[in-house]
Amino acid sequence: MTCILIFQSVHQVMKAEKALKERGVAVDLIPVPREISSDCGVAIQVPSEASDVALCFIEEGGLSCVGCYQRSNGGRFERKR
Amino acid sequence: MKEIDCRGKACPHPVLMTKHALEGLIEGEVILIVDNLAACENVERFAKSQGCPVTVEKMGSDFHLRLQKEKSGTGHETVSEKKDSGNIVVYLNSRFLGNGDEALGSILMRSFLKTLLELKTIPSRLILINSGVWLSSEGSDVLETLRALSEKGMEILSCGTCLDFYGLKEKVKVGMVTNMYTIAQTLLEAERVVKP
Repeated sequence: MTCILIFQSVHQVMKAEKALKERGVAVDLIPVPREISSDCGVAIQVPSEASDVALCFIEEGGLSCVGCYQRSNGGRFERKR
Repeated sequence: MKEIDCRGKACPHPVLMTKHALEGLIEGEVILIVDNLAACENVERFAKSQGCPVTVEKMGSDFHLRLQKEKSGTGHETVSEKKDSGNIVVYLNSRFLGNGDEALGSILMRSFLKTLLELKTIPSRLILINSGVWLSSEGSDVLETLRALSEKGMEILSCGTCLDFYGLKEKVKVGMVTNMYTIAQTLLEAERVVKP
């Protein structure tokens, strides 16, 4: 399962991607799924088990994630925070 | 039987010579001799697109391609079939999407290709030209997406000249290497060309 992290702007996404990559988190940039609305069209996808640590790193970097959604195998999204 | 020697000829000459040879022939066989694998594959693909069966034989460092041409315009049928198939060609002439900041352009490109994967309409071909060939080469962050699109039936064609220029010839990881002849023909025969 994967988690999708939503940010306020594409700049934040780019900074967060860099920060997570530097810390060895497997990240993927994806277009924000249609089911989730966001001001920014790009989101970061991480493996579910890495989502807590990813959120920590993001906060450490002074960035703020405005939404975290878990994608179930059936393709549905559940808001975690 | 006609024999055409394309050894030492740069791309796209072997394909053009094949085209002329087939046009000048009503029925029968032509043998083309080329000296490199890329030319061999390009000629083979072209001949097949024209409805001509091909057999390839490796002779030393050369390749001998035996092309069969059958009467009654089998070739034409293949071509027109292709035209009617409603083919959409996506043309990417850069590794970045749009003009402006490159980091943003790179993100938009990843996003675009991933979105293609989720849509119902899958383009029949993707043409990668100039820095676009980085997308299909080793180290690209869209390789998985391109592989998935390819599995769904989208043909990925990377410009050989461009791969050569960027030193990526040995590093193509998905799709085929092509030449300007195929690229130009694909663009002309496409029902729609999409250049995002």
